Amino acid sequence: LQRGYFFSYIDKMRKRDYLGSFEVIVMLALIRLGDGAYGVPISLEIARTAGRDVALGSVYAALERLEQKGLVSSELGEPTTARGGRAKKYFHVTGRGLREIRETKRLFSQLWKDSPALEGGKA
Amino acid sequence: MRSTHPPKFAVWLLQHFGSSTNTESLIGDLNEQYGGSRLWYLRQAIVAILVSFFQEISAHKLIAVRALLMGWTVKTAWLLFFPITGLVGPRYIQDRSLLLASAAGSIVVCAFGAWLVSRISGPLYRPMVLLYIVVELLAVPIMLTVGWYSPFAYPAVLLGAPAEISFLWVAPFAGYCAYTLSRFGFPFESVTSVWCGSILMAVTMLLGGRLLSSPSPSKMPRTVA
Repeated sequence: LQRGYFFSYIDKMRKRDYLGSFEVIVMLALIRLGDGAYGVPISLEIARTAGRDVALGSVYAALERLEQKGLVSSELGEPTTARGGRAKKYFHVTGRGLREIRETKRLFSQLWKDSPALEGGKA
Repeated sequence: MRSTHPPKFAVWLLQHFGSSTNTESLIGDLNEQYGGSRLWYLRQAIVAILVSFFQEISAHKLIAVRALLMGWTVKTAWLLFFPITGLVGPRYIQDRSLLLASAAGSIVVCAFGAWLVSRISGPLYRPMVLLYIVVELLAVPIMLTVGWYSPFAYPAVLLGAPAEISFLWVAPFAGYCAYTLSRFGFPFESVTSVWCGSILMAVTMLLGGRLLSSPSPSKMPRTVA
């Protein structure tokens, strides 16, 4: 273990592995979009379905976290002049990501079912 | 004001202060969505910079602490160096060559401290250098409000700058500004010197920390000319 990387390893060991609510939203948007999902369609999909405008920077931050957890993978596309010569970065949900999102749904459903206060639609 | 070209300043901000590895793809996305509102683009850029900064700091707290400790060690060594070498007193103010040497030394050591922070932080150098600058800048109003007794006699060049900030990087820069402003009879030199000192310090650190240099092409996604 090189001394220079000591702090990096300690930091990696401390990382949390559960999904936040925005991460769940981003993953569901990715699943809905399928192939060809990159920053713009992902943010538009979230805006359309969740009814909230999101900054592209926040979407990329969530995608980076998901990629570090191994729940999402990415690949660079071809650069286009319409984007100022910048390549698109396409994101896909990995097999582990699908398992994680199913587990999150199962957990939420279970918690929801066992909470009488949430039944009947009363606040 | 509407334009077909994305605002260069916002793109420059993102390229130099964005801590994300996806910055170039993000700029491409913003260019694609750009509808002519410079304000929209600038707001997106600022949000992206802030979000990526806090995300990196939050994910690498120990590296952030190490970076701050490194910067503070260099700074403390330099700021304590003056009183113990005897380069204080009226002679310091009157001797222009000493004053110039002190000013040049402060700039070089401050830049060196930021460079060291960036070097030990590896690929995380952008958020770490930014953190170091932000902490040093935020400490000024906090110290001026809360107050702090410094046990060390600060150099004579700090005359005019409040003693509370004598252990911050802003102090020597503010000191030189105060000295220059007072010679020209500029009013409010203490307040102005703290502002000017803060700006000078931040620019020195940005240069030393390599944040104002062009992003490395090897770390950027493919682009076309």
